[in-house]
Amino acid sequence: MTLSKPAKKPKGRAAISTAIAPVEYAQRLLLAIILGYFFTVEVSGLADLLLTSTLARSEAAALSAMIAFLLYTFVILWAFADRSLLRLWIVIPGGGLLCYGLSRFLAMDGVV
Amino acid sequence: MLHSLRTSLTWLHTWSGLLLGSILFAVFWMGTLSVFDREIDRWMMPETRHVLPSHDISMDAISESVAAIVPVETSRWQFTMPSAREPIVRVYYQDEEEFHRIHLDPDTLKVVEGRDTLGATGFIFPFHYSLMLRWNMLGYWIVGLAAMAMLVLLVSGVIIHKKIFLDFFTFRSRNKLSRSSLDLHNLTGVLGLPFHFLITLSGLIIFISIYLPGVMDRTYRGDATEFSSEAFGNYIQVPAGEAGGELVSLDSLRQRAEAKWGGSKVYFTRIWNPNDANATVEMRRNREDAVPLNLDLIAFDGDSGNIYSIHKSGPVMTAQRWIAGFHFIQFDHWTLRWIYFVLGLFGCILIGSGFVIWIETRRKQHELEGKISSRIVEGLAVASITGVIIATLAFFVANRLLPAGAGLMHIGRAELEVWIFFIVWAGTAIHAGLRNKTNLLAWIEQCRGIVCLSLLAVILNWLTTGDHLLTSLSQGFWAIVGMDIMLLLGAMTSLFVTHKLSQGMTNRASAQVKTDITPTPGSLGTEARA
Repeated sequence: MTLSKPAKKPKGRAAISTAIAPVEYAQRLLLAIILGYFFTVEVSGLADLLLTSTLARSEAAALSAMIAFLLYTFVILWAFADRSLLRLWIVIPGGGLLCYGLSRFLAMDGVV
Repeated sequence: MLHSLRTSLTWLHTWSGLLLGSILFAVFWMGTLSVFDREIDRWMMPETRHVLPSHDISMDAISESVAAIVPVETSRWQFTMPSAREPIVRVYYQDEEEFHRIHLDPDTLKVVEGRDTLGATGFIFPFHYSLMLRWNMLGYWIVGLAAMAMLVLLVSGVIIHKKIFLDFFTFRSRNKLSRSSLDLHNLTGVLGLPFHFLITLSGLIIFISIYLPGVMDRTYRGDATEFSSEAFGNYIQVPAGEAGGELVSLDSLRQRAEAKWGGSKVYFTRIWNPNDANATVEMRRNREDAVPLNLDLIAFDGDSGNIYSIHKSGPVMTAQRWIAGFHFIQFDHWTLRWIYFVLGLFGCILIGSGFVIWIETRRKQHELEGKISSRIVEGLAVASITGVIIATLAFFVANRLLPAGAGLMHIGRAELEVWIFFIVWAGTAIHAGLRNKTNLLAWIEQCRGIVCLSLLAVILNWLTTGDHLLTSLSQGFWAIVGMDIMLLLGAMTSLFVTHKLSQGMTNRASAQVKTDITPTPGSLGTEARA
């Protein structure tokens, strides 16, 4: 999972071949598409809950859902752009779980 | 590990384009055609080629004429008032089985008898966002995934690009196919970038409640109807189960609604449970005069005419409706409509040239190594680019050829047209698979198919309706003129492409003889990364 030093910078076709690190690409795909969606929904869901304190709930839901598409796009790209897989593994599923927990706590506590 | 941002994002760009490019092309193609859906409808439904009457049409008269057709126990019926783009009254009603669509003549308000067809508003437009796969909303999700891929492709395409400004002014049309298609990819990609990004994003934003149920759930706890009534103002009155009195005059309701909206017209009216004590009349405000698909809606009690609810969207939903309106282009603006059409075609070229780059940069290498993947991708590309165009043209041709009562077993005429679309599409895929053993041959043959079918469509329109280009021009049927001219332009473009490709094939064959198997350096590595 950690960053291994590339021995030599491959050129051309070789650089975009999956043959170099199929496991790594599989992880990044999982992080980007599935866990990225989970992360996006949880972050937007929490934003939705927090926004209901100032907006009508339909407005809060629409606003956080609209922004979610940009967030998801960003997460997918980031899952491929960041060199550190470890960081991705911490932030994407971890952040998603954190937001999920916070939403549950807020809902249970009756804050919103 | 990956070496740089660029290589990593190039991988992402290549694979998401390769895997979802076919669907993206179909969605962009159908979306581009949907810009002119009402016009294509006029072409496919010749009975509805009317001139918009200048006098006001009475809604009560419409109601009277519809009451004779709609079953008494219907849960709802609805109609759209005639407009310049659709000069007939479009009526939908629900019976026990399904939702029916009929048209009323704007002058006589009698039902327009015609060949049963879904047309562009009933097939091309819904295909654009659902692929006609209604099961579990599967089609919506596939299109959503493709749309996300498009956003990722656009952003990653910009990041991996080294000289975005310089390349924008570069087009080497006479160079190698891989070079010129790369230039074409860059040109359409950069020129259309803002439009492509926003049209894709807005397409996703239209369906917030489908794609992000998890977010809605946070405050609605799984009650989706609650969200649509609060955000969209949908008003539903549960039927009382007992017969109601006479429906209140729709014209009087219209007057009151239009007065409330400062003179803006009612364009859509829906009657819920018309023969029930709890009948409800829903009226919606015209959307032709502004970008947002406004949510201005008034629900009246069908018996007394009292107002049940008036909806006006909140600030966020107004923004959402502006974004949706930008995508739907229901506002009246012909220049923008054409710009949308052209930029939509740019999107198609962008996606298509992406495929060609993938194939051309690997073809020689794969031939040397005896790999077949570039062949498979070429077959896929042929079927998803020229194939979907041929299938669409076959849909138009079938519309002109199938007789009025046509049907096959349980399949009605309108469905038969759709079946023909899918069967022809599958046929093009088989053809592409069989014929692409020889380079470019599948492309050439399918381009010839496009030429023939386009010309056939124009000729059939003339033969079956009597409207050739000159009569449509003199009568001012701009929708028909536009459709015919576009078909002819399509045929000409395709003919040109066929010619170019045949030249390319001959050149390649002779080059093959000369160099035999020596690969040309530079044809592989460098371009693949673009």
